[in-house]
Amino acid sequence: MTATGAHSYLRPEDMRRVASYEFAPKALVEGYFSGRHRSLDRGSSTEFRDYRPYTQGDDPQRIDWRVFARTDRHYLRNYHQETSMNCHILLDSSASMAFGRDPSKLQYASFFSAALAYLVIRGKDRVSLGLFDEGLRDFFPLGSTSKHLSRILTTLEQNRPGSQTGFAQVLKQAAPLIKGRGSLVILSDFLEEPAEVFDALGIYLHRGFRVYLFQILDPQELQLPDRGLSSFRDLETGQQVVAHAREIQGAYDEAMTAHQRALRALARRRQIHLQTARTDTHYFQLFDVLVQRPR
Amino acid sequence: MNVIFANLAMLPWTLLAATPLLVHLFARSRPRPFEFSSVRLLSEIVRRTSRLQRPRSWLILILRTLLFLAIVAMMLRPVWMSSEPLAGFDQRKQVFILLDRSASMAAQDGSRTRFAAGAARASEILAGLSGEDQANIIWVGAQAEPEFPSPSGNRKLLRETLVQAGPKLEAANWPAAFNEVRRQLKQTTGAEVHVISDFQASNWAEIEPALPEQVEVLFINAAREGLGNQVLQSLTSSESGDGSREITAEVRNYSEEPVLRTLFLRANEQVESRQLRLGPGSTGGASFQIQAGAEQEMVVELALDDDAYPMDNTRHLLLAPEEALRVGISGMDELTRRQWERALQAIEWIELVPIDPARKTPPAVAIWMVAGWDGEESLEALREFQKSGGSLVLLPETGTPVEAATQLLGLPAKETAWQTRRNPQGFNLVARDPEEPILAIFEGGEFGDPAGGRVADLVGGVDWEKATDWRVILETTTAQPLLAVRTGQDKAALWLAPLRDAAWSGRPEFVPLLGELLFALRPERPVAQQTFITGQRLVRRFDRPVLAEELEVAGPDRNHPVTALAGEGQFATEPVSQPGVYEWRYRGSPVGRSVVHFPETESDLEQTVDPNAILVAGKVLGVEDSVSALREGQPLWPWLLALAMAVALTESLVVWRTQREAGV
Repeated sequence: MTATGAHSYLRPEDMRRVASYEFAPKALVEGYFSGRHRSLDRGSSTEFRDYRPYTQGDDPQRIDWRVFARTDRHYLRNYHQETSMNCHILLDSSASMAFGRDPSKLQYASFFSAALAYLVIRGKDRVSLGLFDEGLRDFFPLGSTSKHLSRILTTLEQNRPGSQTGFAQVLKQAAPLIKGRGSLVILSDFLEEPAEVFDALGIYLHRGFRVYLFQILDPQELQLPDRGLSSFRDLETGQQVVAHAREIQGAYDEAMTAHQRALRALARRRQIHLQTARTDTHYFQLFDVLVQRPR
Repeated sequence: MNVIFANLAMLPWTLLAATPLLVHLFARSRPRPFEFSSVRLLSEIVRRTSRLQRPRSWLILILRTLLFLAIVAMMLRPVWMSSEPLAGFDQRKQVFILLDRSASMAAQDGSRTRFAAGAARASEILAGLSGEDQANIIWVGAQAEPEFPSPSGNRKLLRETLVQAGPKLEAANWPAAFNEVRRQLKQTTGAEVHVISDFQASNWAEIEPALPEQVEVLFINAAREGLGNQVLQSLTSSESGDGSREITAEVRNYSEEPVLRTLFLRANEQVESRQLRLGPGSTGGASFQIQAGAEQEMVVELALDDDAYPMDNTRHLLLAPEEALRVGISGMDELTRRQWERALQAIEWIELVPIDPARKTPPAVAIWMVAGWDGEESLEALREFQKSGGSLVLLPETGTPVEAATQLLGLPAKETAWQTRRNPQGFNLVARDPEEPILAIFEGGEFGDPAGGRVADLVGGVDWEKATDWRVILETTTAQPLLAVRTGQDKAALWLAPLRDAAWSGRPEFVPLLGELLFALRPERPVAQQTFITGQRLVRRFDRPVLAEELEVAGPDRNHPVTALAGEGQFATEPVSQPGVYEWRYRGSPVGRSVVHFPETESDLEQTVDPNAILVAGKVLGVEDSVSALREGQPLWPWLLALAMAVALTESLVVWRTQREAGV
């Protein structure tokens, strides 16, 4: 694979380190191998797997005539199918993702997206990228070339936080664009109603996508800082709530814990992988999680 | 109710009360902006808690404002003034301060005496008067002693007097004090009477001060609390059979607690002690046996061990010497008088005293024998003598009215005049009652037969059947009484046989008979012993002529001059103020003693009357513990401080609870 040049979200030193996580995408696709990715789906390939009796409608070219000569029966040869991995990345670029500093949630998510795209393409697989807020703002279809990667990285650099988050709208909008089965990786803060998020994912689960949710949160969102009497302004809606931080800290902790618990419960029920990441940790940890994740 | 502020200069600081409100509004208007990713959870929390938080926030605001108000109000020094000002708020006042200086005011009440507390309050009253006001202090002891003859504007001198004054060991004479107020009252409107006392129940129970209705009366209690006290209430002596005397002391416990006290007796060289356990409010006694000296008067002193109120712990008793029985003989029947004198001269324990027939005052004798009494001679003196406890032996004169003698002796008369029956052969005598105690000495026969003689004359005129409290000792064989006695309270004898010859009086049994008769008639208590209480004048009568200027009385504190009283041989000192033994001296030599006791009414330091219950004809303003509360007002800062502390505590609790519920 050729060098991608200097990009903010994929620096040369990160590329070397990310290379050691080459099996992370494998974990993502979990069997959708193309080339080095071995698929359990049977198809046309050079590596023999087994025989099966011919049935009407099968391609006659796949009949093993040698076996027919020996047994006078028609058998077809099955081969391991080598597939290409399709990884679709959807990056929440709404205004709420601008929260936090060094890095913001959007920056953190962009780092991870860039590294994941690099790894996928390095593994000769295909990756797509969609940027969204209340609608799908930008989308790059599947590609596996260096040029494709370079475009993705440039887009990430130019990406800026937008307006409100609209999961239902976005996933509905992206459905015709995200073709073929593969892995759907969504990076967001998931601060909306949990049920709203998971309802919108139903269509992809139905199509056989493996869905990975990476929740990116700033430490201040997990534990409200004591800033005295504050006017909290919503970055997406502009709504203001005046409260004494110390007086509501306890209640906020409880509410946040309940929100997280609800997200995890819904993810477990729908067999969706959900991973929460704090922006004060390195995004490499997300790859660690993927690599170590049991099959 | 009137509230004034003593420190109005601090008034602008009341604006500080607005501080919490300003802080509240300021803080609310400028919350620090915070760009947050999503306020969905926050708005839910705020919506959920605002229903509770908002009233609580207002409560905290109110409490903080109240706290500031209380602090600022404290700095303003508010003073509560009575809504009913004292008399003469706008006119010249006449103020009488009746200050109790009785013995109970000497009781220690904390660090100072009740009197000191009362004097301090009196000084406060005087200090609060304006330039035109007039005042007077009336010291209330055994007498009511005004400091000035009438109220004066020289209040400075009155205040100086208060500093130098002290209580006296006397009882308080409140009626005299109120009489003095009435005497000095020049005006009724604008007149105030301040009564400063400890309001002992024993002194105030019956007091009803009668003052004009317009006079305003204020009772000021100088006692803060009761004081459990024990007092040596009485001291008596009685003769024991073995020649010694029994001294009995009675101790009263006014305390509400049981106590154990020690009694000390001192009589000449004899010193003894007894422990005495007394229940709450009870009286107990202890007895001592002492050997009384026969030659001279003895002073017995009994004392309780020291307590918080030692003034009433000591009491004295004078024991008269065993002196001869003084018998005086008078009367116009010279023959009988001589026979009596001759017989009595033979008795060593009898001292014969000649008595002037014209005497108008009782003689200093124990028994007065009158031979041939005509019903007029020294009649007043005889009556007074009887009242003072002396015994009479009376032989009526024939032909004189019976009534005078029967009235004097309490006998029923049968005749209008005394009749004499004569028997030239002489009447034979007989003892009416063989068990008669007076004749008990003759039972053995060694002193002869008391009825062995004969008498020629016999006087009669009494209805003996009705004379129930008299005993006939001797009578004739025809049952004509000859000698009768009345023993008991008023001792007397009626002698009905004029002694014309020695047919009876010359017999050996006559002397012992007369001796036994007079012994039975001797007064049980010495007549001369007279006791006083502090605040009284010591009075003494002398039978011989003395000069007042040569007399003086040496007391426990100092010597007192003596003045002659109107009346025969009576002398008196000025009022004495110390309990103890006082010695009368004539030309430097002791001539007698008087005992002065502590006034019993002053010992009860526990029970007081409610001054509100005292009926006063004047207008009673009430009872004030602090005069300054009326004059200068009652400072309210302690209440405000308490309020501020309570508010601060409540605010802390509300904040703590709010934070706890918020999970901080």
